[in-house]
Amino acid sequence: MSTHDDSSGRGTGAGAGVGAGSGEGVQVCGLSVVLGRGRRARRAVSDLDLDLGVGVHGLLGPNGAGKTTLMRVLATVVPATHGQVRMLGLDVSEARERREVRRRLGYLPQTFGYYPRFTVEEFVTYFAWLKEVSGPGSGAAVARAIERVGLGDRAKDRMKTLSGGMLRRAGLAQALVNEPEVLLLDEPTAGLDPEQRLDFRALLRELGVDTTVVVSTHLVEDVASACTRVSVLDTGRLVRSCTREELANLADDHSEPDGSARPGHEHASPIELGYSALLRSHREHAAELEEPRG
Amino acid sequence: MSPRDDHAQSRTREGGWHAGPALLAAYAGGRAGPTDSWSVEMHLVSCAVCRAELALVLPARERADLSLVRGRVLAAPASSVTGAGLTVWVRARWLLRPAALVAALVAVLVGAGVDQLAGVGGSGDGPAGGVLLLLAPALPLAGVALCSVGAGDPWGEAVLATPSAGLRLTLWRTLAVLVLAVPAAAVAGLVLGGSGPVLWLLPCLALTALALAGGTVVALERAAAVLAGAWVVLVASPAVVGAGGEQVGALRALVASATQAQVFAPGAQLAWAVTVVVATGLLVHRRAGYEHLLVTRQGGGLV
Repeated sequence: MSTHDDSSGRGTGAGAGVGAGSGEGVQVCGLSVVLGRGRRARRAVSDLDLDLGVGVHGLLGPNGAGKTTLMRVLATVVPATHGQVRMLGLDVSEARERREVRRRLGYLPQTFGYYPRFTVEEFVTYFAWLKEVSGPGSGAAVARAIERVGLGDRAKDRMKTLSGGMLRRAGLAQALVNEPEVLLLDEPTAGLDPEQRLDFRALLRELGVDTTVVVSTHLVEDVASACTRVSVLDTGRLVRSCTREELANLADDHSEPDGSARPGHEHASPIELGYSALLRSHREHAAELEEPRG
Repeated sequence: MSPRDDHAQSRTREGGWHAGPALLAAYAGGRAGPTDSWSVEMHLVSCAVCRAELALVLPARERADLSLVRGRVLAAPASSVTGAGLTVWVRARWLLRPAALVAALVAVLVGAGVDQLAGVGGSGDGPAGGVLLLLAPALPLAGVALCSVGAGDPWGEAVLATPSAGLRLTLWRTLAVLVLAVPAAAVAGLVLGGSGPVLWLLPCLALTALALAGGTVVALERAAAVLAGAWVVLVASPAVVGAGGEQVGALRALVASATQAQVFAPGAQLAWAVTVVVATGLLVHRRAGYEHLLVTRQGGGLV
């Protein structure tokens, strides 16, 4: 089984919009991102194609796979070195179109601090202002975003009094305040306790009904419970883009010849097994390609 | 009215459908099947006439209960968040960053105060200008550094992903600092008997434009700090070295050197004017630098 058929079969002609996501969602074609310059230059994303429509999409991969760089490119804060990124049918390399995309975008970065003197409400209102959510509805939009992440009772509290999990939820409220059509969440479940994580996944499923949600995570459980599609990344490359069920089915293809699980993997879920099998076969494949060159 | 079936919906003269009384009664009593219930509910959402009909066929006690619940739902605040929203004052505060303005004002006051205490500046026997003259061109740099939208902001990455990010917001904030700091320094200079902004206006604009142009390459705070340092070296180092430790003497010498300094000479003014133009051109050309994170250029370890 080839691990590359999915990506090479799709993603051509992203300029015209491909697949079901034409005109909306996210289309990435031949994306490469080089970070740094000169001797420190490093390729974080290589020749990546993606086509994401409405629904919850998981970006799964080990640390350093390029998930955050990809999220930043989708969030329009890091430019593509090569390739094309279209979001909501607009080209993000054009300043005017990028601005329109940003109006309809929600982004929760992986790392952030807090404005010590801001209350949660002020913080979310600030982002409503930055996102040009204006008029009499802005107060209601702020209240709704705060309620959705379950921080209604802490709205008047200063951000410095919040725990890590609450801070992340405040960050999520900020991302939701403009009712985004594309929502990008980079490691959103980090720092959440198990119960909050369940609430968060329920919110994700709700959002995925009419929004293109992209969730980067290294937690397979997040994908298993909230995502409809999964894109697995390793060393800056797309290993595979498939449904959650297809990922789980891969586990069977890669178990030991006698049908038993690999040693030490007896208690892993099908999706975890599928994910690790996929990474393993990708790395073996990559190593085979490397060898002839010495 | 359909003669065949009491449960059927009836057709009105306008051509729209309404639920018949029997169907509504069955629905109210929980006797309508799932398909009928579903279509009645769909219809009720958009039809006030049938909602009124439904109320009539409900038993009196249920009607009272429902009306109580409705009253409570409507009376309850939609949210514990009051959502004061975006008042003009709030917008102005975020657009202009009052902290930057206060910092610039404090710097003017401190400069004027030092001039007064040390007896330098226009009022004393020292040369006109004083510390204020030295400080004035670099004043907006402090404000510009505080204006930054990005690197120094704990939510900079999320801010960058909003339509307001980019050069526009930084320019608004810079303009506010300039509009406040320049007149304040000018007034302070005139009150102290100095020469007003004629000498320092061009260097001031040049440093501001250079900082903004530098902000397309490195973090704006860093660009402003480097320029402020360069400015201090430019005007102060010969005097401080020459005075050999005695503080007031050093200050007087510093002021003297600055006033006669090359940085304010007519030839230098021309150079500052050219700098303003060049730096502004650079800024316009490279304005996209304000649209993106600086990690791509700094080779940050973030993946």
